[in-house]
Amino acid sequence: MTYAEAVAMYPPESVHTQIGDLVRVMTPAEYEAFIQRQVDYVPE
Amino acid sequence: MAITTYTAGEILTAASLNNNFASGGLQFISATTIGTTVASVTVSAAFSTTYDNYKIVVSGGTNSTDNVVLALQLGATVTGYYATYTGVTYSTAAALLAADNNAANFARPGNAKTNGLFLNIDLISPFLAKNTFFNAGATVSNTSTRLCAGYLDNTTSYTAFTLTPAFGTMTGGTVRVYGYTNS
Repeated sequence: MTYAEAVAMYPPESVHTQIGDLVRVMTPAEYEAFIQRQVDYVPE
Repeated sequence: MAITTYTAGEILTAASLNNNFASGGLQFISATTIGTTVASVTVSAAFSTTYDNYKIVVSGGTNSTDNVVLALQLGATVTGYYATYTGVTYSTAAALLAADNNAANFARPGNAKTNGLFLNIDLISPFLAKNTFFNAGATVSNTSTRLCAGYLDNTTSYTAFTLTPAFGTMTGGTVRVYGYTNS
Protein backbone atom coordinates (compact mmCIF):
# COMPACT_ATOMS: atom_id res chain seq x y z
CA MET A 1 0.00 0.00 0.00
CA THR A 2 1.29 3.43 -0.89
CA TYR A 3 1.28 6.41 1.45
CA ALA A 4 -1.49 8.06 -0.58
CA GLU A 5 -3.58 4.90 -0.54
CA ALA A 6 -3.20 4.63 3.23
CA VAL A 7 -4.28 8.25 3.73
CA ALA A 8 -7.26 7.72 1.43
CA MET A 9 -8.28 4.60 3.35
CA TYR A 10 -7.79 6.23 6.75
CA PRO A 11 -8.32 10.02 6.70
CA PRO A 12 -6.95 11.76 9.80
CA GLU A 13 -10.34 12.35 11.40
CA SER A 14 -11.28 8.68 11.02
CA VAL A 15 -8.52 7.18 13.17
CA HIS A 16 -8.41 7.36 16.94
CA THR A 17 -6.17 6.66 19.90
CA GLN A 18 -7.59 5.32 23.13
CA ILE A 19 -6.06 5.74 26.58
CA GLY A 20 -8.21 4.15 29.23
CA ASP A 21 -11.77 5.18 28.44
CA LEU A 22 -10.72 8.34 26.56
CA VAL A 23 -10.92 8.05 22.77
CA ARG A 24 -9.50 10.95 20.77
CA VAL A 25 -8.33 11.83 17.28
CA MET A 26 -4.63 11.21 16.75
CA THR A 27 -2.01 13.89 16.98
CA PRO A 28 -0.18 14.59 13.69
CA ALA A 29 2.82 12.57 14.89
CA GLU A 30 0.64 9.64 15.94
CA TYR A 31 -1.19 9.78 12.61
CA GLU A 32 2.04 9.76 10.63
CA ALA A 33 3.23 6.72 12.57
CA PHE A 34 -0.09 5.00 11.94
CA ILE A 35 0.01 5.70 8.20
CA GLN A 36 3.59 4.51 7.99
CA ARG A 37 2.61 1.29 9.75
CA GLN A 38 -0.04 0.71 7.11
CA VAL A 39 2.48 1.37 4.34
CA ASP A 40 5.05 -0.97 5.87
CA TYR A 41 2.59 -3.76 6.65
CA VAL A 42 3.41 -7.15 5.19
CA PRO A 43 0.69 -9.80 5.60
CA GLU A 44 1.86 -12.88 7.48
CA MET B 1 -3.37 -16.66 52.43
CA ALA B 2 -4.93 -20.07 52.71
CA ILE B 3 -8.61 -20.50 51.89
CA THR B 4 -10.81 -21.19 54.91
CA THR B 5 -13.23 -24.12 54.70
CA TYR B 6 -16.41 -24.27 56.73
CA THR B 7 -18.56 -26.84 58.43
CA ALA B 8 -22.35 -27.03 58.45
CA GLY B 9 -23.91 -24.46 60.76
CA GLU B 10 -20.72 -22.45 61.22
CA ILE B 11 -21.01 -18.64 61.38
CA LEU B 12 -19.35 -17.04 58.35
CA THR B 13 -17.61 -13.82 59.29
CA ALA B 14 -16.96 -10.98 56.87
CA ALA B 15 -13.25 -11.18 57.58
CA SER B 16 -13.12 -14.85 56.75
CA LEU B 17 -15.15 -14.49 53.57
CA ASN B 18 -13.10 -11.50 52.42
CA ASN B 19 -9.94 -13.47 53.06
CA ASN B 20 -11.29 -16.24 50.84
CA PHE B 21 -12.18 -13.80 48.08
CA ALA B 22 -8.68 -12.36 48.22
CA SER B 23 -7.12 -15.80 48.25
CA GLY B 24 -8.58 -16.91 44.93
CA GLY B 25 -6.27 -17.54 42.02
CA LEU B 26 -7.25 -14.87 39.51
CA GLN B 27 -8.47 -11.48 40.72
CA PHE B 28 -10.32 -9.18 38.33
CA ILE B 29 -8.60 -5.79 37.98
CA SER B 30 -10.25 -3.92 35.12
CA ALA B 31 -12.26 -4.09 31.91
CA THR B 32 -11.74 -1.55 29.14
CA THR B 33 -14.22 -1.29 26.28
CA ILE B 34 -12.49 -0.49 23.02
CA GLY B 35 -13.94 2.51 21.17
CA THR B 36 -14.69 3.04 17.49
CA THR B 37 -11.96 3.00 14.79
CA VAL B 38 -9.19 2.89 17.36
CA ALA B 39 -5.65 2.30 16.11
CA SER B 40 -4.31 1.52 19.58
CA VAL B 41 -5.69 1.15 23.08
CA THR B 42 -3.69 1.84 26.22
CA VAL B 43 -4.74 0.36 29.54
CA SER B 44 -3.32 2.46 32.37
CA ALA B 45 -3.02 1.43 36.01
CA ALA B 46 -3.09 -2.22 34.97
CA PHE B 47 -0.11 -3.35 37.05
CA SER B 48 0.70 -2.49 40.63
CA THR B 49 2.37 -3.72 43.76
CA THR B 50 -0.69 -5.83 44.57
CA TYR B 51 0.21 -8.62 42.13
CA ASP B 52 3.42 -9.92 40.63
CA ASN B 53 1.84 -11.70 37.65
CA TYR B 54 -1.09 -10.92 35.34
CA LYS B 55 -3.40 -12.28 32.68
CA ILE B 56 -4.76 -10.10 29.89
CA VAL B 57 -7.70 -11.33 27.81
CA VAL B 58 -9.11 -9.52 24.79
CA SER B 59 -12.31 -10.68 23.10
CA GLY B 60 -15.21 -9.40 21.06
CA GLY B 61 -15.05 -6.42 18.71
CA THR B 62 -13.68 -6.33 15.22
CA ASN B 63 -10.69 -5.18 13.20
CA SER B 64 -11.15 -3.27 9.95
CA THR B 65 -8.81 -5.70 8.17
CA ASP B 66 -9.02 -9.43 8.63
CA ASN B 67 -6.37 -11.65 10.11
CA VAL B 68 -3.58 -9.35 11.28
CA VAL B 69 -1.37 -9.78 14.31
CA LEU B 70 -2.06 -7.84 17.51
CA ALA B 71 0.99 -6.38 19.25
CA LEU B 72 1.55 -5.58 22.92
CA GLN B 73 3.84 -2.82 24.21
CA LEU B 74 4.67 -2.17 27.86
CA GLY B 75 4.65 1.46 29.01
CA ALA B 76 6.54 3.69 26.58
CA THR B 77 9.30 1.17 25.90
CA VAL B 78 9.98 0.62 22.19
CA THR B 79 13.10 -1.53 22.29
CA GLY B 80 14.34 -4.74 23.85
CA TYR B 81 11.45 -7.10 23.11
CA TYR B 82 12.48 -10.69 22.37
CA ALA B 83 10.09 -13.49 21.47
CA THR B 84 9.68 -16.53 19.27
CA TYR B 85 6.58 -17.75 17.52
CA THR B 86 6.57 -21.35 16.32
CA GLY B 87 3.62 -22.62 14.38
CA VAL B 88 2.23 -24.68 11.58
CA THR B 89 0.43 -23.53 8.46
CA TYR B 90 -2.87 -25.35 8.03
CA SER B 91 -2.82 -25.76 4.27
CA THR B 92 0.65 -27.24 3.95
CA ALA B 93 1.48 -28.40 7.49
CA ALA B 94 4.73 -26.52 6.98
CA ALA B 95 6.53 -24.99 9.94
CA LEU B 96 6.01 -21.28 10.46
CA LEU B 97 8.66 -19.44 12.44
CA ALA B 98 8.88 -15.79 13.46
CA ALA B 99 10.83 -13.82 16.02
CA ASP B 100 11.02 -10.48 17.78
CA ASN B 101 14.71 -9.66 18.09
CA ASN B 102 15.23 -6.46 20.07
CA ALA B 103 11.89 -5.37 18.63
CA ALA B 104 9.69 -2.35 19.40
CA ASN B 105 6.99 -4.53 20.98
CA PHE B 106 5.80 -8.11 21.30
CA ALA B 107 4.60 -8.15 17.71
CA ARG B 108 2.38 -11.24 17.48
CA PRO B 109 0.88 -12.47 20.76
CA GLY B 110 -2.70 -11.84 19.57
CA ASN B 111 -4.83 -11.82 16.48
CA ALA B 112 -7.16 -9.15 15.10
CA LYS B 113 -9.85 -10.32 12.71
CA THR B 114 -12.95 -8.84 11.18
CA ASN B 115 -15.00 -11.16 13.36
CA GLY B 116 -13.16 -10.52 16.61
CA LEU B 117 -10.08 -9.58 18.60
CA PHE B 118 -8.23 -12.42 20.30
CA LEU B 119 -5.54 -12.29 22.96
CA ASN B 120 -4.83 -14.48 25.98
CA ILE B 121 -1.47 -13.59 27.49
CA ASP B 122 0.21 -14.11 30.84
CA LEU B 123 2.73 -11.47 31.94
CA ILE B 124 5.26 -12.33 34.60
CA SER B 125 6.52 -9.45 36.78
CA PRO B 126 5.66 -6.39 34.64
CA PHE B 127 5.54 -4.16 37.73
CA LEU B 128 8.59 -5.62 39.43
CA ALA B 129 12.06 -4.27 38.71
CA LYS B 130 12.86 -7.40 36.71
CA ASN B 131 12.58 -8.63 33.14
CA THR B 132 8.97 -9.11 32.05
CA PHE B 133 8.24 -12.52 30.59
CA PHE B 134 5.19 -13.48 28.58
CA ASN B 135 3.54 -16.63 27.42
CA ALA B 136 0.57 -16.28 25.13
CA GLY B 137 -0.13 -19.95 24.60
CA ALA B 138 -1.39 -19.89 21.07
CA THR B 139 -2.29 -17.32 18.48
CA VAL B 140 -4.70 -18.60 15.88
CA SER B 141 -5.14 -17.00 12.48
CA ASN B 142 -6.85 -17.92 9.24
CA THR B 143 -3.70 -19.59 8.02
CA SER B 144 -1.81 -20.93 11.03
CA THR B 145 -1.62 -21.57 14.75
CA ARG B 146 1.45 -20.47 16.71
CA LEU B 147 2.85 -20.98 20.17
CA CYS B 148 4.77 -18.04 21.55
CA ALA B 149 6.78 -16.79 24.50
CA GLY B 150 9.30 -14.09 25.12
CA TYR B 151 10.64 -11.41 27.41
CA LEU B 152 11.36 -7.70 27.64
CA ASP B 153 15.02 -7.15 28.39
CA ASN B 154 14.99 -4.40 31.00
CA THR B 155 14.13 -3.98 34.67
CA THR B 156 11.63 -1.15 34.28
CA SER B 157 8.52 -1.19 36.45
CA TYR B 158 5.40 -0.89 34.29
CA THR B 159 1.85 0.12 35.12
CA ALA B 160 0.39 0.30 31.60
CA PHE B 161 0.32 -1.54 28.28
CA THR B 162 -0.82 -0.77 24.75
CA LEU B 163 -2.41 -3.05 22.16
CA THR B 164 -1.98 -2.27 18.47
CA PRO B 165 -3.08 -4.23 15.40
CA ALA B 166 -0.44 -4.45 12.69
CA PHE B 167 -2.89 -3.03 10.18
CA GLY B 168 -6.22 -1.24 10.39
CA THR B 169 -8.31 -0.11 13.32
CA MET B 170 -10.28 -1.84 16.05
CA THR B 171 -13.89 -1.24 17.03
CA GLY B 172 -15.48 -2.69 20.11
CA GLY B 173 -14.33 -5.59 22.19
CA THR B 174 -13.11 -5.66 25.76
CA VAL B 175 -9.65 -5.74 27.32
CA ARG B 176 -9.83 -7.53 30.66
CA VAL B 177 -6.94 -7.57 33.13
CA TYR B 178 -6.59 -10.05 35.99
CA GLY B 179 -3.97 -10.47 38.69
CA TYR B 180 -2.63 -13.75 39.98
CA THR B 181 -2.89 -13.70 43.75
CA ASN B 182 0.45 -13.60 45.54
CA SER B 183 0.25 -16.39 48.06
